[in-house]
Amino acid sequence: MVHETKYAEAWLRFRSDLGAVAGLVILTALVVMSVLGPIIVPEDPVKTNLNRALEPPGISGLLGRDELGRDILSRIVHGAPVSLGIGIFSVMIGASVGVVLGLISGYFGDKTDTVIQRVADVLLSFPSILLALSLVAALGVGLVNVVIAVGVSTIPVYIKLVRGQVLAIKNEDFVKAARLLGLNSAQVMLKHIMPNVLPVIVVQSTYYIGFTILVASGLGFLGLGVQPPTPEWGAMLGGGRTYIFSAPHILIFPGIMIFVTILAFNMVGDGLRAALDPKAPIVVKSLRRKRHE
Amino acid sequence: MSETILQVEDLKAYYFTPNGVVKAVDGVSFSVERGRCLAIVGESGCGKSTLVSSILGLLTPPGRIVDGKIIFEGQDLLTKSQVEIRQIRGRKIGMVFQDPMTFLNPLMTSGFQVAETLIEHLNMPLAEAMGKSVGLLTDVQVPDPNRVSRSYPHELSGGMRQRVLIAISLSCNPTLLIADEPTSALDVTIQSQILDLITSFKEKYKMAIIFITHELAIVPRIADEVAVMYAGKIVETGPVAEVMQNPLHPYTQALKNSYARARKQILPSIKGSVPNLANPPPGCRFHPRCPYVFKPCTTLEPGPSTPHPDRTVYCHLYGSEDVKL
Amino acid sequence: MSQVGEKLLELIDVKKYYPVRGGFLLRTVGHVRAVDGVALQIRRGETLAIVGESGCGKSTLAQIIAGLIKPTSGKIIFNGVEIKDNMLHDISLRHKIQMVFQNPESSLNPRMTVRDVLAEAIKAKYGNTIDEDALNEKILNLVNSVGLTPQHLTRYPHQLSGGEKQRVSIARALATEPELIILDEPVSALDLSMRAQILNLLLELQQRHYLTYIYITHNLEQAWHLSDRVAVMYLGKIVELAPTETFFHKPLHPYSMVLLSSAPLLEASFEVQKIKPVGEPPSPLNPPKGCRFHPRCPFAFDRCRETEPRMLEVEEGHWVACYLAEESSKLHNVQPLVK
Repeated sequence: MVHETKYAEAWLRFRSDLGAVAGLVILTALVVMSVLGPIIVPEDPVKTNLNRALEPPGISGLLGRDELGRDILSRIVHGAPVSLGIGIFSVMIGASVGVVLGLISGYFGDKTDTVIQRVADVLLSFPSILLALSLVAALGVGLVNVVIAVGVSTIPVYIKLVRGQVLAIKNEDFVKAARLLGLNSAQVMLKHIMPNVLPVIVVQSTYYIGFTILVASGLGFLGLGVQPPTPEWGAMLGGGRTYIFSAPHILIFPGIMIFVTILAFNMVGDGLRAALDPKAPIVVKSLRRKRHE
Repeated sequence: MSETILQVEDLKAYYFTPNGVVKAVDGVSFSVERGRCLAIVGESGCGKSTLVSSILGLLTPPGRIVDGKIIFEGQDLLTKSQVEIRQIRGRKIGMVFQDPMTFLNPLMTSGFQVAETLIEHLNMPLAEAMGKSVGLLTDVQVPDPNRVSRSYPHELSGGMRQRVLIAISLSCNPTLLIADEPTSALDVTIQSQILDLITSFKEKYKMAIIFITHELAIVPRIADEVAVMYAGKIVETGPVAEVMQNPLHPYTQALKNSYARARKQILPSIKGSVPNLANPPPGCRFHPRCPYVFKPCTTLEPGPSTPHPDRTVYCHLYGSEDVKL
Repeated sequence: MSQVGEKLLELIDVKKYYPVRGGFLLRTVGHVRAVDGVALQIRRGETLAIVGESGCGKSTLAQIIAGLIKPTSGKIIFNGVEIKDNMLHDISLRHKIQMVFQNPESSLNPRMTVRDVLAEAIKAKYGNTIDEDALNEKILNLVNSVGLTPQHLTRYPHQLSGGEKQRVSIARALATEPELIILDEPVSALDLSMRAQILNLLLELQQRHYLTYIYITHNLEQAWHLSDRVAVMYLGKIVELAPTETFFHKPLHPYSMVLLSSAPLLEASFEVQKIKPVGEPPSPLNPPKGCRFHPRCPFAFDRCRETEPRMLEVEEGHWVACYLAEESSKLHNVQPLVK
């Protein structure tokens, strides 16, 4: 069966993975929530109301109120673009630096490779959250610094990943053929190596957005990330820590949001990985129906 | 005195995939006698790997044997249980495959891997098995058998690994050896040595051998009889010298023609390529590529004809006694 | 029959050594002598077959000629001009030497369509500013000349058969209008029924475009079929070089005889002294002293174990590096010419 384009085939493979589709649905809902939510939601997420602090869900507001009387629903909804934004921008920072370094390291080899790899090894020896923590300690807290810190902590994995792919590809015959055409190193890297490395980068980035949201939440939980009053799910968890038994609703809802978001990114990542592998078989469901006749 | 060791009758093995049924082996019949070597020649996609898996009982879902008989030493293997097959495979039927590296355990020494078969099948004690293992390595003409016995597969060259694999396959004195492209990955001088080795075992132990290959040129060096396979079916069988000298089926002729007879010759070539076994052409499977195609070929599958004694060909050009639909 | 013309390519004492690092500080402990002093002259329009088994260095030599690998030492002279290191950046020179590779699976970028591949090659030759119509016309010409159809243009490599992929590789090689094409086992990975088609195509194209081929193979049938001259390589050196007819009827080097004895030639009409190959090829890390083939040679005598024989022209156009051949040629009163 000859399909029109690689993208059509990729979509068919993706579609056949139910988990991936579910994840995509969830992410779409999150994006919609980020865009439309702040407009629809009734209350101001920042406005405190100490008279109504710790009110459980139902009485006022769908999800209750937190320790300072702020409406949790509004905060959740306003927190969505914060988390998604952190995820996307930090991954963009990490990928742009890491991919370039990985390409150079893998393609040129020798001393360049050795130097870049040792730097990456040093960075990798720190757990990501520790690395992000140290950067926050150096840069200071706040949204922008969190994005930078978390972004930088993703660089070494991109370097390793891309370098591995480049090493595998650069000795393929079609790369030799490109050199025989007279293409210079930059052209070879961009036109032949990059497009074949891209699927791996896309998949890794998808997983990483989920991961960076988690790291940012962790920083927020510790009070070292996004600062209040800006709503951020991790910070909401941190703020509600002491009320875990008395007013669990403060923790449950942001906790669920973090969990679902990361799960969705992981499932979409799994689906993308299978979809972008041209050797994976495409299961065409229509034939199944035919055979039952 | 020729005794039939293996007789395959009308074997059909299909793969039931979500995208359709792939008829990899579709009605294959042949036999091998004691002390004789049958070469099965076919290109990629002809079903020969499935055939080998079926005979050895190694066919896994979605593949399944749908019909036919595999009669080994008088007994139909398809009626036997997995346990019984396991006792036969490795012991009475030896196997040698193309890439020794994937079939040898990289974590065990070669000597131990040879001994393992003896321990498993013949319940031989370890010391005795190791001793016999070195003896077998000597038989397969490995230089310095003691050193090789202690070596790991990655320390050996391609030719040596193949010899180790042959030693394993011969360890329990099988009556049948199935070799699936054993020399395709080897250099031509090593290939020559391995072919001679296999032939010497055939003569010494009077083993029956099935030798699968895609390289027609090797056939006269190793085989007594040859069966040509195309798209899941056997299209021609006969004694090697006769089939090579005078191929009857157009496909066999095309294979023979792919070897040049004169320098700078433009070879007679067949158009098209091997059909998709999920959707084979109707009638004779070779008809879209056949230079002699005529009316019955497009609708009727040819049955066997015997234009000479010992020679069978499945082609309408030779008229057939029973024509299958 | 193509007319063979003037000298197109000359290799003088080309060597390629790869350092082997070992020990704690990763010092260089030895060298893998992949190519160890190769001298060749290739004439325009001819097909030279380089035959040898794995580890003999033929693929490395092919890549050195193509400019993909820099030789450790030696000279390469193309069309009378010596190729120095910096000249590999001379694109017009690059385009004159192209290559077709063995493995159809890795020869094409999986993310490029057939049209993309050919367009890239044409643009490399004619510049990115080539007129769209001219580009399309050239693409169609290429497609036709290798026996493909316009329908193939939109396909990706995984939608093509092995034979079709090789045709695309050949078309890509032709796009820059080369003078020399190096073919590294171009049909080894293809089925028998595909091989004939591709070999026919190669013969046709050579006639039409007056191409010069270097055909690397371990398959002697193909060497006999396609070549005008045969060079046999063993452990980084050429041990025999002769016109094809001469080589197949009168091989002089014992290794050549071993190869011919082992090759499962179908129409075996060559009366070759059958020599059984002994043992395994040694490693290029530690070649034997003296003649490299002596441990496996049934005719080896003392001199063979001491010093390496030089390549001598024992009859016109027929070169061998072997003391046995040297001795027998003296017996026939042929004066060897030393190169």
